[in-house]
Amino acid sequence: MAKVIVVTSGKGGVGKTTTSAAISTGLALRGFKTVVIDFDVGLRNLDLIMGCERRVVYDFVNVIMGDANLNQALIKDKQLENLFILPASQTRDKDALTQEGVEKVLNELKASFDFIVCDSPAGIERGAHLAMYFADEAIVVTNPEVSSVRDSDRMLGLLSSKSRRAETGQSPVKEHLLLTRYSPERVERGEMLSVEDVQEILSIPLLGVIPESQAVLNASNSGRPVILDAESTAGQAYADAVARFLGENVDHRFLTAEKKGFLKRLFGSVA
Amino acid sequence: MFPLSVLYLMDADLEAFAAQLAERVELAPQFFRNNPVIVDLSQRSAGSPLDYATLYRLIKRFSMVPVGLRGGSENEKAAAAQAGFNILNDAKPGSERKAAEPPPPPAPRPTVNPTLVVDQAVRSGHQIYARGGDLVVLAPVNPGAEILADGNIHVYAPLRGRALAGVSGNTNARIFSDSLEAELISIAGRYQLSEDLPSSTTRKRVAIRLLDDKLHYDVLG
Repeated sequence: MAKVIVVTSGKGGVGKTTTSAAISTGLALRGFKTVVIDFDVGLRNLDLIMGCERRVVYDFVNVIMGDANLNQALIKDKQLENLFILPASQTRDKDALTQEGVEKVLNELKASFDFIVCDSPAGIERGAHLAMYFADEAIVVTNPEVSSVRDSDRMLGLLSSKSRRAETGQSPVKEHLLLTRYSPERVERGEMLSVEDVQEILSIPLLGVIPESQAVLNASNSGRPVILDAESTAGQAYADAVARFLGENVDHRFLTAEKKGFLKRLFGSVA
Repeated sequence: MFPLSVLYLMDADLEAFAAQLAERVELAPQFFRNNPVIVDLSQRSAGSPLDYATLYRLIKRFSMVPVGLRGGSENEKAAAAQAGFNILNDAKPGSERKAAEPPPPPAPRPTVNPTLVVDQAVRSGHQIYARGGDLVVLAPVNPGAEILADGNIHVYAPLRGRALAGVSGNTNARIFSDSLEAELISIAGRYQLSEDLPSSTTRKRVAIRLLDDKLHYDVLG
């Protein structure tokens, strides 16, 4: 049975699209047939991060309007056999999305995919609402700072009251916390909320902590999801998150500041 | 209404009946004095005929007033009438209690206001209002959330959002929390913002009430 996953946050700029790209690529790397949908109609970004912006012909809104069928709009990833992208329209706005239209597209995708990753726009309006409405699981992307935590909290409230699962009395949407742009050094200096601080407020299971990394920006610029950069800490952290998402028991990494100087020279990379 | 006792006669053995009656009367002589009684034959096992004249005298001897007799066959009733008993219509089973006591007035319906119990985290942007009653929250109330009640508010978890008790003016309403980290506390319109809350209560178990029209915080052990 296909699973619908929403990547959401409430707040903008926290790494939803980076995460959607990384998680969907990670699931495809594990052999699952995966499609990632850009719900940010009007502000197309996902295709850039996925490096397929030049191959967009039809988009999500065209499919909903019936101007194109799904197969025409789905873009196959260049590297991964079983990864597909459904891009957003840049010329329309979010009112072009209808609940019936979204449901129809999702049902069609469910027939042939294992995972459907919905990249939510920021905010809590129509686009974000429709991205999360049909979700089975939610990855809530949060930065370790108070406004992002509060917006994620708001989003979690909506997931438990305004999703289809909540409205029809099914088992609730399974929630995962993904903390991004985490800097252990800044946490130690008291400039950033710690994992524990964030979890105390949001109180949902921790899927992963993605360290702040230059590799993320490089990946976005080159249109290659950061999870493919196995050298980077961010790439490794996303791979861990995918493993945990699939039920594997993986220890959390990159939570403590790397010791520099004398100790590091003595013990090498033990820490 | 005055009490009316019913004597059920189980058999024709009047001596045994007298002994039983004496036992009863001894327990509460005042109660039985001049107490009107009805003799009921409906539960009497069929057997030898009764001596109604003796029965009548027996009742009189115990200072009771034989008002009448019911139950029994037509023959028995005729004999009883001759002995001085008034013959009453046969009672329906169970109705003598109603005749003896006025029906109790309907019990006043206890006015219990419904308590609203919430067992999920109250998250930012959520508002919960317990109209006309108390609110009990068993999970954290997060920053940006607002909980209101006409009665008391209990939060058995950290209270980090806004809590307003007695919103329709109940000055006796109180607020309880396992860990006070609230953005705003209000009882019956008197409010304080987080920066004005006494620092000694931060992250403490507290009970909050109005005392002399001011919010008063008790740290619970």
